[in-house]
Amino acid sequence: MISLLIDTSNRPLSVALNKNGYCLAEINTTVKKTHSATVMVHVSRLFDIAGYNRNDIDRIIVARGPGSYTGVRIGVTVAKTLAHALGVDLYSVSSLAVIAASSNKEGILAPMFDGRRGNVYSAAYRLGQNGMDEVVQAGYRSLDALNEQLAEYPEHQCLLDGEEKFSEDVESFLHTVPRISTIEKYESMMRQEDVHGMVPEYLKVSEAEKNWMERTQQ
Amino acid sequence: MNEDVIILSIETSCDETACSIIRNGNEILSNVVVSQIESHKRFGGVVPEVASRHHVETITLVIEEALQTAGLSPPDLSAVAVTEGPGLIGALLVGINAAKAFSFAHELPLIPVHHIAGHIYANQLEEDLQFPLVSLIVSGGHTELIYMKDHMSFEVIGETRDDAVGEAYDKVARVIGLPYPGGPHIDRLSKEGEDSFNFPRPYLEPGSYDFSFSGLKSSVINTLHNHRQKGLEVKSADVARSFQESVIDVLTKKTIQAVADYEVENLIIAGGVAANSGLRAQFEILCQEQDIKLSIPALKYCTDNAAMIGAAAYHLYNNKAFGDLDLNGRNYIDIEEYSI
Repeated sequence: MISLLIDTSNRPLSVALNKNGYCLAEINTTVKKTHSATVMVHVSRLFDIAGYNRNDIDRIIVARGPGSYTGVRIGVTVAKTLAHALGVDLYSVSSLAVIAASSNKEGILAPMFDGRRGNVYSAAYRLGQNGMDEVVQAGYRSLDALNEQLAEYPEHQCLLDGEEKFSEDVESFLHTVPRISTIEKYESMMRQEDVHGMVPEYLKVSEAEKNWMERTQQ
Repeated sequence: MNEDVIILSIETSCDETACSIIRNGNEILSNVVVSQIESHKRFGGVVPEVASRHHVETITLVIEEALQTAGLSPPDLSAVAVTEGPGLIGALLVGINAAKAFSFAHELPLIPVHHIAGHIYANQLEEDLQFPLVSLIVSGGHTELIYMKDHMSFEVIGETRDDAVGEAYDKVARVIGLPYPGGPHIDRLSKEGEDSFNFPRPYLEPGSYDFSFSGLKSSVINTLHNHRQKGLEVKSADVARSFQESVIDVLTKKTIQAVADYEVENLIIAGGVAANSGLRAQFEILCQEQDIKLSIPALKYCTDNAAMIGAAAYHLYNNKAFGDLDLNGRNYIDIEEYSI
């Protein structure tokens, strides 16, 4: 089975072609570039490198978020359109799970992205011989709230994706560059999506909608 | 051999998710528009983040429906076109990335199109454009006068220095207490009122084809506030009529002057505000008097749609003006760059 994998949810970009779960070709960047301009160039390059045709793929796996709203939308738009155009199945994974899988570590892993003003997009996963499962649900929460939930797992390891902005608030952490090819080892992390119906997982309503809901509830 | 040029086009620059299939630049095989207006009404205007979220929800659906309605499959297509800008950047990126993915999957040339060129070429869906011409583009985001000596030749001869005319309509509507979008409501209400306020006509310096509606908008708002403070009754219909008369006076006089100065016989009005009945009526009268050939697209092609993008893309296709997979959205693009 040939899979095309796409993650543009934060500053790093990762696209890969896997065969039966193993990486044939992968392009990873962490430079500040516009994913909108680069993602299709890299996807096209993957096929050239691996010597495959676009019609050879069996499924597409996309990081559904959380992350930069625009970044997540770019990956999801490309994945939905390609899946529709090529007539292949569409799967999504949490961008946080991609970080955990990319760390190549076992135990309790707690990936997080900056959610501004003391908040983080975060989750925690148990990785080991038996695969991967989510022990703290992916969500948008304060760092304090996350720490409370992580207290149950004293041996946990926090993972950041290279973003330095809020790292001083996290006691100890490792930076992990997302490598989307690694996630296919963990079928339990995949969610099959309806191609038309799939939406990004922002984990947060837009400011305008939040304000509107507050106004209408008064 | 099939010599027809069949283009699938995508437009997501603001709050409509649209996809259309056009044969040879003027024959509409399908024209799908999903409007988000009901969602944005609660905010009193288009919220960019919300618009982008809606686009990604519907983008593959509009593509599928455009193909199904046209009864075509991707191998029948010659190219895929998309609005590159100007527009809301986050909104544009959804259409652009979908177009690039579609172009890659089906090995089709990609054609980036300027949104305003699309508005002008909406007229081609009804009859061929005749050159040279002057075009007035009026919408929620644009107020421009453009001179064209031939296909895909654009010279901007006037533009707004502040608010777009549609923006001024929305703001005035809000002050009168009319719902968003304000244009159609003011247009309707103005028919019941008199031009009793005689608001200023912002012509700017002599000889200028530029526009400015910010001062007029402020004048309307200040007048309303003054009346309300003094407890005077204000007839909303009169405010609507007075505002609209000022806008129409300025738009028509400058446009007709440009037509005379550039010695053209053809005038095109385009963009969402071209749907305004007062503006259409006044242009019809003036053009008849002065023997100018006036073209205004049907109402559904005035507002944002993808058919107009496909109409413009036809000429870009013939000139092989193709884009690459590194195409990015741009919130502002000088239309003169698009001249070929």
